[in-house]
Amino acid sequence: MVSPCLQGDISHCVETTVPQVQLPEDILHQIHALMPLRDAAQAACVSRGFLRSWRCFPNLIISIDSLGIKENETNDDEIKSDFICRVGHIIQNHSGMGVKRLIIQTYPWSNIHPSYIDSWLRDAITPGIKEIEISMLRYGGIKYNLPGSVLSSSEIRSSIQIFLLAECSFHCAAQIGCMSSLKKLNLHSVHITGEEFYGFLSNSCALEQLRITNCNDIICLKIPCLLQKLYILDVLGCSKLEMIDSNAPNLSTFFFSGHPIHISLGDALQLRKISFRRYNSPDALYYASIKLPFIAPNLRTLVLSTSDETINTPKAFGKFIQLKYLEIVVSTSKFSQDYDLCSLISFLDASPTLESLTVRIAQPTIRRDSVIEDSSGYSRPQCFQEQCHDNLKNVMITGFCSAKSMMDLTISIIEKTKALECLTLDTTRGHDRRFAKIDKCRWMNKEALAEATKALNAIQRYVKGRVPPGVNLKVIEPCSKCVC
Amino acid sequence: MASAGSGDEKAAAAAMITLISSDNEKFEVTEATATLSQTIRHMIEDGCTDGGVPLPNVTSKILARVIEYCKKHATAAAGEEGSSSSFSDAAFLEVDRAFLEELEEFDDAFLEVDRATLFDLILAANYLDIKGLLNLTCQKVADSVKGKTPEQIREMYNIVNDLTPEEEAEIRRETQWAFE
Repeated sequence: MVSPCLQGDISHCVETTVPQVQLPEDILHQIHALMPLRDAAQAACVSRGFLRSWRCFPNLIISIDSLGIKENETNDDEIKSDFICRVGHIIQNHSGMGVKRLIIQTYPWSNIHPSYIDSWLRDAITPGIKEIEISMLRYGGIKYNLPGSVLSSSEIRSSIQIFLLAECSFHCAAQIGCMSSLKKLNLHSVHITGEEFYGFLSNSCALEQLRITNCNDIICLKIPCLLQKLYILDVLGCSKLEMIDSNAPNLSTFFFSGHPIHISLGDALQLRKISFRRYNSPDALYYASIKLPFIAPNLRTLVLSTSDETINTPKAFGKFIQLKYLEIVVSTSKFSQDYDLCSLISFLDASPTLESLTVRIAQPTIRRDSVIEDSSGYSRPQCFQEQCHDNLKNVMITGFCSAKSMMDLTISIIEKTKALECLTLDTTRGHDRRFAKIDKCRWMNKEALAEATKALNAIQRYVKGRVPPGVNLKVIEPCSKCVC
Repeated sequence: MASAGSGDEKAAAAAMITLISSDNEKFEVTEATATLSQTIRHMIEDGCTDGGVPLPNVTSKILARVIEYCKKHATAAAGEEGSSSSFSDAAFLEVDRAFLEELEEFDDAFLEVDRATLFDLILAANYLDIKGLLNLTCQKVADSVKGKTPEQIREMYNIVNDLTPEEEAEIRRETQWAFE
């Protein structure tokens, strides 16, 4: 394993001017393999060591970018045939030379003839390959149907660990044999039925991570209990999906985004993290409050994102007995003004071990019930529940506004949370969400800035005086970077 | 921080490993930190770490840096069940983002070294078999030659062109697309 001294062809250069550390050839290979395709091809001319390394270059990441082809609308056909020619050339030169990672992205063309793709896959996919990504662009073009022959060798099937398909058909899935090493499977906009997919999964017993997005032929996603190692399940935007029925016993992370469906995750006692989003239909919070405690009783982390709620979060439902971190995101500006933000307290009441709560009002929202504009001011309602939250230490609200129900929520938390250490009231769109690398905040328009001023005013008038001395109150104001 | 091994607390000593650099400096680290190195992990499993682990190929200057890396990443591994490379990152960004960002910042700062030190770190990571560190440092070198011509790469890394003119012409023809 170790080759700390000078080695290989490059050793005779010690007599040249500056004595420098030389890297052994196996490390040069490793560095070479980390270069993008085009740089790696250029580097093949550096020395024999690099040329040898290029001959068995393991990562064929092929796209219009990696080949250095410029998009040009005027002679698209010419560029396309140039692309096809280069890819064929590269793949032929590396066929049978130990390709470990094959990524083919056909963007921006949706009309590359399937016979080319078939031949590229046939040549590049050989025993020992670990990762395959085939991303087609189907929009209005030729539909590519992955041929089962590509995966007919059991030697090939047993070496594949990561498999990603995008925008093609995979109807032969159930006929593919055992994928004994497959750990990560990702299907995006793939034509495959629930039955075909079930057949494929039943042969993928080593699977650890599964992600399916926009696979709109699947109506029922069934996951067999054979998948003992599956711990991550992501299901996003599958528009025809009516049901998820997973029996994978060790699922620990579940990410769902889509319309309301029936979800059954078996016992799911290991399930620790859920992220649950709905973009095009309302009441994600309502659904989460009445269903999730029963679907995943041992959750530690829960992230909920809602576009709208048509009813307030109800009071009585099951408990999240181990929940430590809860984040609730209001993702759109069309979120109902009638929703009582204070009804979010129901989540706290259901989560006795909660330590951290974050509420994000992600889009600037103007609510009509500002306590600053109400001439009678704000008075704390009398009906707060008696239940206390003994473990809650950190609370952050971003997009904090002067709405009455926001005040109710905040004051209720202050009064009921005896262990509170830090309360952050952020009147911007999230100081922790700014684009640090380019030094920009999330943009706020005039109305949002006016509301932030009201919110600061409301904090000054109605919140500050109620915060116990032991609590660190952080109030975040808009800065100059929030405006431009 | 690397403390010269005085090893006072006996209770903690059980889980501590002493690493000895080529210039005979002793570093006491926790087992969790040390076992990021597969080489040391195997030594521990074989029970041959009593009296310290001599690392004759690693200087104290480099070992201190390697330990700094391992400490940071050992905490990271313990903290998040190794989920940092999973699909669901985006979904749980809300939770893990700050943590991952901090780790990234650490790595960026860690790589702010001269070329000689970077090479020494690569050799040490290879010798100690620390996958993450080897990958990180090799990636830094790979990034540094992005867009460079073969001549520039030879110059940067003091590599002699041992290709014959014919061989070079041939490979240039084959990879001509990369030069366009």
